[in-house]
Amino acid sequence: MEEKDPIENKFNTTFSGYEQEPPSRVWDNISGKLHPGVKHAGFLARILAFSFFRNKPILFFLTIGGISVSLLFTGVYFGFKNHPTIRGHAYAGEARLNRGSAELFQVADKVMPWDSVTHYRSAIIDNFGHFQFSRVGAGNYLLRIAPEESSEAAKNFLPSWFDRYATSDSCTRITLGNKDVNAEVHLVQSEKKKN
Amino acid sequence: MIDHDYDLLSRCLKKEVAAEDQLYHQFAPKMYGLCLRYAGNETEAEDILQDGFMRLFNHMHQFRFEGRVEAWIRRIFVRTAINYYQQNLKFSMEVELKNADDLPALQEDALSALSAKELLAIIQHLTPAYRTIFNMHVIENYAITEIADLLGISEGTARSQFHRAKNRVRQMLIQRENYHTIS
Repeated sequence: MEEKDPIENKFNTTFSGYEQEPPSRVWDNISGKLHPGVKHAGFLARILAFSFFRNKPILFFLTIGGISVSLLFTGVYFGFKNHPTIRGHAYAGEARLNRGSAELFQVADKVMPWDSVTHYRSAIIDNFGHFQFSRVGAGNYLLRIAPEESSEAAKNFLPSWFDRYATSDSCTRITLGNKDVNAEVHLVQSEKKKN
Repeated sequence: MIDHDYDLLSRCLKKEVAAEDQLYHQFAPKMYGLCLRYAGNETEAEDILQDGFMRLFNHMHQFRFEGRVEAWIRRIFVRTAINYYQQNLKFSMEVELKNADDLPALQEDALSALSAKELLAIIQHLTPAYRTIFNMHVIENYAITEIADLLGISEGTARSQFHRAKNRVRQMLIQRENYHTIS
């Protein structure tokens, strides 16, 4: 066998089995080309794939847990952000109404007369006259407050529409976007009381 | 080891993501070392590495499950490197300014003290044609006839180009030695 000269020998021995770790971006590019769907699946999906196929159950379940918690918080955040609350107080004269109900009606029409009024939700008025409708979708609403029939207020005040009207034709419409609305309702006195 | 590599390749052929990942990480450091020798710089080496692995994954079905997997993969990467520089592989027929015999002798101590990094820098300073032939013959142990066949040149050209490449390496080693002696 032909003997190699010292230079050839030096290069041959130095680079036989020579290794160097390539940058991680090379594999990212290759795996992205091999599995284009996975490339666009995002960081967490790749961790999931890595942990699943590399048999790393702790990392796999931690990632699943992380994703679940993230989705939960994201859902809660956007749920509340896009579904604001209508809240307020009902007054019978100077005092707060302490027994009664609040009714919310959805209106599809943009201008009067309103033909498409549908009952949306009911709420109980607490002892401090407070009512609240949580997580209401964006839109137009009418609000009606009715004192409980057996209450003292029912004798002197009529069921009334926001903000102080006896009929829905003339009441104030609530337009709900992505912010909470505070609606203070003053019950209209009955004719008997006025007299 | 061979059985393990065969099994790994079989799993890759079934498109198992984990097997592809494993195959890459098992062979990438060796192949990147090879690519660095055939490339002019790290960026080109990364390109060759990427092209080589794509070629490997796309042509895996051609493996006959005979012989060592690493040898087969190494041949793929050498061919990828040749293709990468195909446009630039211009084999100069110019006469070398200095014949190897005219060059001063190289001290063996100085040669043996050189690190892989220093030798790599010398290889990377060669032209693509010289670099390819030098790598193939000296490190990959390809015969001159085989090199001629793979590069599509005559055996005489391959032989003369190899000697010129080696002279150029020797020149650089001597220049480097003189520089260190002076400084």
